[in-house]
Amino acid sequence: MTEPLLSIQNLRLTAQTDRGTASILRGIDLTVERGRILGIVGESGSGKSSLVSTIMGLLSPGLNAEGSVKLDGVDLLTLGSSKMQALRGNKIAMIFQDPMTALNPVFRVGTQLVDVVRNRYPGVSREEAVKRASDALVKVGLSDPERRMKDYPGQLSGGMRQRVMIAMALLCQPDILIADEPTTALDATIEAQIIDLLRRLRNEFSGSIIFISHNLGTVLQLCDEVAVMYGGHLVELGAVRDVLAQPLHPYSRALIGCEIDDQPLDVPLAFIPGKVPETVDNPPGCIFAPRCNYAAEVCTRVMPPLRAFEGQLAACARLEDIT
Amino acid sequence: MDTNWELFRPFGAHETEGAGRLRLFENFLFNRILTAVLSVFGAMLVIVVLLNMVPGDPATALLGPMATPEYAQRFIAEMGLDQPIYVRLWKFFSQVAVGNLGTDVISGRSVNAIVWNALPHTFALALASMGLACLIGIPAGVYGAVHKGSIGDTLMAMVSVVFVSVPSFILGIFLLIVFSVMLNWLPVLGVSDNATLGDHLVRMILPTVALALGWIGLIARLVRTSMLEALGQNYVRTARAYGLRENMIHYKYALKNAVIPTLAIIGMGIGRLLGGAVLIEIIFARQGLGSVLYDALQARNFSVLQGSVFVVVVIFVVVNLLTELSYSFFDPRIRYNRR
Amino acid sequence: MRGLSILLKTLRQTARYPSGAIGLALVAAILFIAIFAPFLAPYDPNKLDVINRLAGPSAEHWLGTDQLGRDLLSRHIYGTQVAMTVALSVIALALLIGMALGILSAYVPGPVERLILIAFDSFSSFPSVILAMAAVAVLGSSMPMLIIVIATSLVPHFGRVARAQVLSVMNEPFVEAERVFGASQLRILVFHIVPNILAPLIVIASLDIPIVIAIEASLSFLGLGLRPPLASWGGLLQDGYQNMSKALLPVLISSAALAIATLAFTMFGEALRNAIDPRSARRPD
Repeated sequence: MTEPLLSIQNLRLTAQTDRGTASILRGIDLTVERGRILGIVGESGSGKSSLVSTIMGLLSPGLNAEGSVKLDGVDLLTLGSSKMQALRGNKIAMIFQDPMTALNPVFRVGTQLVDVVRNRYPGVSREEAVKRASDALVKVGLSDPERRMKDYPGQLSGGMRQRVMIAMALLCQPDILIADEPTTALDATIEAQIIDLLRRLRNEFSGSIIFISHNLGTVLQLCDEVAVMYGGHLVELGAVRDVLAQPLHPYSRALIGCEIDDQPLDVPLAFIPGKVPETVDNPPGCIFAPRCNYAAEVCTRVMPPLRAFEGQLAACARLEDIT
Repeated sequence: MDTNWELFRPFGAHETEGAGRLRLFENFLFNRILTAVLSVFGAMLVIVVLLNMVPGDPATALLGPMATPEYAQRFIAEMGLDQPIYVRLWKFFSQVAVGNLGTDVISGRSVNAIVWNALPHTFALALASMGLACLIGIPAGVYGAVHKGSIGDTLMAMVSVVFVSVPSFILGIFLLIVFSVMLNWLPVLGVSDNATLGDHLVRMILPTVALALGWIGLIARLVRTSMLEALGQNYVRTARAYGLRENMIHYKYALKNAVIPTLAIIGMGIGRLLGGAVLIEIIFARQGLGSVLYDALQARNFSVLQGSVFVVVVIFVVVNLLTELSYSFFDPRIRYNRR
Repeated sequence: MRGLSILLKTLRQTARYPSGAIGLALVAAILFIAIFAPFLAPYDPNKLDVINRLAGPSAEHWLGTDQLGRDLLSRHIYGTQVAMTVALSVIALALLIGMALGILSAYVPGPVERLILIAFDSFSSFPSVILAMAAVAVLGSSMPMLIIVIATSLVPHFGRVARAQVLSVMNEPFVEAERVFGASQLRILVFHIVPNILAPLIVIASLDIPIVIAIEASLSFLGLGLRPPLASWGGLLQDGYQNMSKALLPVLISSAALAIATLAFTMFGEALRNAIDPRSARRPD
């Protein structure tokens, strides 16, 4: 078996705050195989966005990452900032949550796309870059690409801007594309169109995708695997169909349970009683225990590691008892 | 000047886009121009009323006590000082309407000629100063924002507070003392009539720098603040995520966003520089509108005074107006924003 | 009592950062010199000593003498008094008139409002130095006249801010509530509007002081402002400038005095602004 494209081992992310050391990621182990699409779900504050910022090397100053994030065998955490910069837009690229602000409002769409192309492929002439950019706009379903290239982002709707962002990612042909809740800021019909576009582009795109979402429905439509995050931990990992059909971890169950009851699939994750754990607290036991319906004495002692169970991975001490 | 940007913004789905935008823009333009015309008119009213309030006998003040009563009489009539304000104001504006600023009663020259002769000198000085201020102030502001909290940033903050607060004519005198008197590097005096272009340029250095220093400080501060804001925006994160070089992100992507809010200040600064230029022209013995104004004041030459103040006011108001309009030209957010 | 404690608290806030502390200290020193000028000045500022003209610093004359042999230290100390008298009177006058017109324009819509706004626009269509130059040249340059002229050119600045503040305070819930409970307009004005617009106006006032100092000095420098033998910084600068080829010290002292004073008030004013309106101090990170 070949080495996975991306391999994250024991990734911890901490920050010094007034109230003590905050743990944002508490030891993440995760691999992404070539050409696969991994979905990551979890409540806000679970560490999804911090995880991808760490992979991108775009952490805010003051955050401290430990462990390893290996891309093609190269540990990104030890790369210098200029090497990391050379990697971005080349091997890794990202689509952001809010297309309204992710594009620069005072530059034409074409300028921004062409700059990205010429940064990615330094040998390419301006004409060629313009041509590639406008082809990419057609691929993401924008008609009249010449006109769109001359538009400023303010002249485009939210859906169109997100298509431009996707075009930007396509132009880079990265090994890993990270999509951080790319549809959250859009309304439902546009969201469906964008998801549809991403599904069609799967074939177009040779690399792997990490797709972050609040929305289990979109993950089901798009992804091969899904990882469930809670409180800076990865609590469950498995094939999308398996996890959605039979969630193992109590948190996944709650998450999926409250969706499946009687609601359509494309609503955001529903409410689970209790609150998201504080990053500065370091309780000894399972991070989810305070909110868990199945919590027992064993859960208060130590955070259980991710372990294999019925073809999936889950971090729960009582898997045998509760399934 | 308070600008109602809302006039630019609200064209939603309910309106046919192009036409609605154009109409709002026309309204805005009409309002601004009307205000500008009114304020020029008001300003001239202020000046003419002011000149009417001159205490004592202007003829005596001008011609000295030795002038014969007949001559003084004729002089007052020629200057129009015996007429009521509204007649003088009407006369002035009806002349201005056909592009005539009147005649200098003392020298007999047309005020147009006097002003046109002086204007290029003042404009050259004001534009050169603003150019220099942008050339140094903008990169300094970017540096301060990018290296926030560094020694260079702190040092620049200290220098810019000095530049911003100390009046330009004081800075001019300091420069004069250091470079002309102590170091003897640069000539003190203004330009002579048969000077070469090189002479003009050399003699422009000190006055230009003196006027520019304050604006360097101001522009550096403004650009630093707006640059810091721009660097925190999502589009900068996007540019980083696609591996663009930091220099390109700073000087292209963030800078354009950061400069737009300072454009208004820079534009209005050109108008303000005209005021500062008066003093600098006198200190450095330069020709220009400021010297014309000052000489007219000293000589109580009201016809020249009226004409040159009118030109200053018009330039001031027009520059401010153009600045506001250029805002919408440079900023696609205002031009096109749909939200 | 309450006013005093607010004042002390604000000053403490102002001095929190080095530039504010330096500004505050310098401003205090300048005001002290201005008030106690007669006790601090070693000589009569107008006493001539024709033998010792343009003398360098000595034990008798710490800063030397001017072209008429007058003691430069004493003249600059009295100059401080003149500068502060002009600056503070101008600011007080402009603040009062600007506030009154600003409130009026916000309260009386229609022709009155429009007239005031056009007047503001007209007066701010001149660079303020030029308006002041023309006015003093015509009206004369006694100190009261100078104060009135400079104040007039600053009125629109205060007026516009006052107007904008009144318009926003008028729609605040607590003012609405007062109105519902039947408070008179005057009561609302005195107890709610004025206290709420005063803070930004005081900030502007402190930031405008260096501008007034500069205008007054430039007028006097041009010979249009305060006349000799009255010791004003601008006039002293002109004296020194005229004799620059013979002695550099006098012109240096006068320009240094002006530079320090404008710098001090700017640093103080900016720190005060940040203390009173913390939003303006917040730097986006």
